[in-house]
Amino acid sequence: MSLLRRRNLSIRQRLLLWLVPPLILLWALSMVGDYHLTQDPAEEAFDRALLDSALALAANLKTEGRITRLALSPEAEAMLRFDDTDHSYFAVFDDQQQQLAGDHELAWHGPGTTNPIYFSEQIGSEPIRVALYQTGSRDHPTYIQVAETIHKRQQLTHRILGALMWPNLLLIVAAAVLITLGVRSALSPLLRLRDEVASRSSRDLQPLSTSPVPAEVRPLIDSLNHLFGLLAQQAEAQQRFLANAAHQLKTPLAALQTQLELASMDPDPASVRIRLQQLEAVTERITHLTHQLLALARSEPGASMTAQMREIDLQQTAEQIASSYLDFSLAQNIDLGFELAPAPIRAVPWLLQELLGNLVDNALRYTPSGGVVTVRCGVDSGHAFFEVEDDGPGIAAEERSRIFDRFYRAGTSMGEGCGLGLAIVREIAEVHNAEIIVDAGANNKGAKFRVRFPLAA
Amino acid sequence: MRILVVEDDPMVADGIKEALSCTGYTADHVKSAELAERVLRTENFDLAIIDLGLPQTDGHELIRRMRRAGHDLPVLILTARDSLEDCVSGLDTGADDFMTKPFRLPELIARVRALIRRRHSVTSSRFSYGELEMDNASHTARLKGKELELPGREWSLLETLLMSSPSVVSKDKLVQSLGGWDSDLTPNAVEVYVSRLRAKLSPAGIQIRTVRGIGYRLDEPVTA
Repeated sequence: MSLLRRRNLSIRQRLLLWLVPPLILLWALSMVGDYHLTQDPAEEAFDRALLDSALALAANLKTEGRITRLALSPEAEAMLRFDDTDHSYFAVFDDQQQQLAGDHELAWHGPGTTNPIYFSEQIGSEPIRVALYQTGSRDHPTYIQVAETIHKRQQLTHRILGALMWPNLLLIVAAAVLITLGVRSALSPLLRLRDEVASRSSRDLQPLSTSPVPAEVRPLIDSLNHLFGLLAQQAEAQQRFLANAAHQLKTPLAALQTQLELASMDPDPASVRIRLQQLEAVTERITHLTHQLLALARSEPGASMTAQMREIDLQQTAEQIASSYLDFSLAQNIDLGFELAPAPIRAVPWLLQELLGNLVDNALRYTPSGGVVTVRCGVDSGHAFFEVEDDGPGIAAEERSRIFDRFYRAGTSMGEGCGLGLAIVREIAEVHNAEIIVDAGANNKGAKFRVRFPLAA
Repeated sequence: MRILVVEDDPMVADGIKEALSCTGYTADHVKSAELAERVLRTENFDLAIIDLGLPQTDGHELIRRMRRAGHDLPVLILTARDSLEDCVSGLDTGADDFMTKPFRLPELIARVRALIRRRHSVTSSRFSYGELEMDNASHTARLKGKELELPGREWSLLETLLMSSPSVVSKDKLVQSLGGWDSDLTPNAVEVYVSRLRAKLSPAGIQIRTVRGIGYRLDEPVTA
C-alpha cells in the first residue's frame, strides 16, 4: 500500500483506506466461503438422488447364465424419468462396454476406481451430471449410468448466491456508510480546533477550550494553550516595559523642562550656572537610560547571537572597560581596582562588554563616595568567572531575586540608576549560558556579583 | 590645527565647533559628504570628525572615498548607531577612532587631542601634552618652558603613556615598552620609574594615575 506511505494523506483518508477496501475483500472471501458451505451439501443431495435411480435400475437387472438384461416395466421407466425441470438419461453396459439398455446419447464412461462415481459431462452442448454404478459379479460386472441435465442445480446455485449476496452487500454498504460517518464524527473535534485556531486574531491569546475534545487531542491543545500563555505573558511584559520606559523617560524630561524654564527666567548668573549643571546631570540620565533601553532591546536572545560568538578573554574585556569607567569612579571618589587573570570564554564581544560594563557601572552607582569597588576575573573550579565586589550598602537577601527585574530598583539604594542594568546583565548572561550569583561582599559588607561562564573549549 | 566637521545636525555641529574653537582649534563645518569631498580637494585639514548617518552618501562611503583619494588625515567617527559592529566596520574602512552619540564634549576634545598627538608623532619628532613638550629627534623635553631631565627609561615610559592617553596602559605593556633597555625588568621596577615621573610632572599638573590591578593612565590637567 504505497498510497499509505504518502505523508500528505489526511487522517480521514488513512482511516477510510484502511477500513473500506479490506472490508470489501473480506466480504468477497466470505461470499466464496458461504457459497461452498451451502452449495456442496446440495450437490451431494442431487448426486445421491441420481444414485438412487441407478440402484433402482440395478434391482431390475435379470441375469440368466451369462446374459444380463434389464427388465423394466414402462410404468417404472416413466417413474424413473419423471422430472419437471431436468431431462434424465440412463444406460446399462456389460463388461464388454456393450450397451444393453437405455439411451444411446449417454456414451460409455467407465469404469471408475471407486463405486459409485459422479462426474460432469455433456450431451451435445447440454451439460449433464452422471452417476456411474457398478453391479453384478466381479468377473462379469454390469455398469449402470444415470444422468440428468443440471437446470435444477443451476437454479439452486442462483438462489443460494442471491440469498447470500444481497444481505451481504447491504451489510457492506451499511458498514461503509457507518465507517464514513464514524470517521467524520471522530475527526470533527480536530476540524473544529483547526477552525478555531485559523479564525483567531493574532492578538487573541485566550486559551482554547478543552471540554469537547477527545483524549488524544488533549495534549496538543494543552501544548498550544501553554504556548498561548507564554506569548500572552510576553506581550503583557512588553506592554508593561514600554509603559515603564516611557514613564522613565518622562521624569528626567520633566526635570529638564522645568530647569530650562527656571534658568531662562533667572536673573542671577551664579544660580543659572548651578541650574545648567543640574541640566547636564539630567541629560546624562536620559542618555544613560536610552543607552540601556537600546542595549536591552538588542541583548534579547535571538538566533543571530550564536553566529557572533567567538573566543575572547574576560581579562582583555575587563581591561578595555577599565578605561571607560575610570573617570566615573574618579568623579564618584570611589577606588576602582582590578584583580585580573586570564579567563577564555566564548562570547559575543559587544554583549560581553555591555555585561561587564553594567556590573561595574552598577557597583559604582550604588557605592557611596570613599568606597572601594574591585573587579576580578579568572578561572575557578572549571568555570571562567567575572566578579564585581563593592563595599556599599549591599542587597538584602529577600531582594536578590528581584533586582534582575526590569525597572526594579533596590529599596535601600541611594543611587540613581534606571533599573535596567541588571536586567541587561541577566539577558546577556542567558545568551552565554552563564550563571549569576549574588552575595554579600567581604566581611558581610556590600554586594558581590559573580558571573560564571562555561570555559572556552 | 584645522578640523573638518561633517555633520548634518546643525545643533550638534554647532556644539562641536564651539567646543573645538574654545580649545584653540579652527573648525569648519559642512553638512554633507559631497560638500566635504569638495572642500577636501582645495583645503588642508589636520583631522576630520565625520558623522556616519549623513544624508545621501553616508559616512562609511565618505571615508572610503577620502582614503582612495589619498587623504590620510586622522578621522574620528560619530555615530548614533551605537552597535560595536558599526564602529568596527568604520575602523576597517579607514577611520582612526569612534564616539557614540550622545557624547560629552570633554571626551570628544580628549579624543581629538590624542588623535592629533599620535598623528603628529608620525609626521614630526616634536609633540606636546599640556605644558610638556618633547622632541624625539634631540631627545629633549621641556616642562613649562624649562628643560626637563628625562633618562632613557623614563622617556620611553612617558612616551608610551602619552601616546595611549586617555586610555589605561597595563603594566605588562609598559614593561614591554622598556624591553629595549632591560630584558629582565619587573613590574615593580615600573613603579619606581612612575613615581620618579610623577615627581617631575606634578608642577605642570600632569598626573600619572594608578589603576589598581591594571596599570597607569596619563591625565592632563583640567583646563577650563
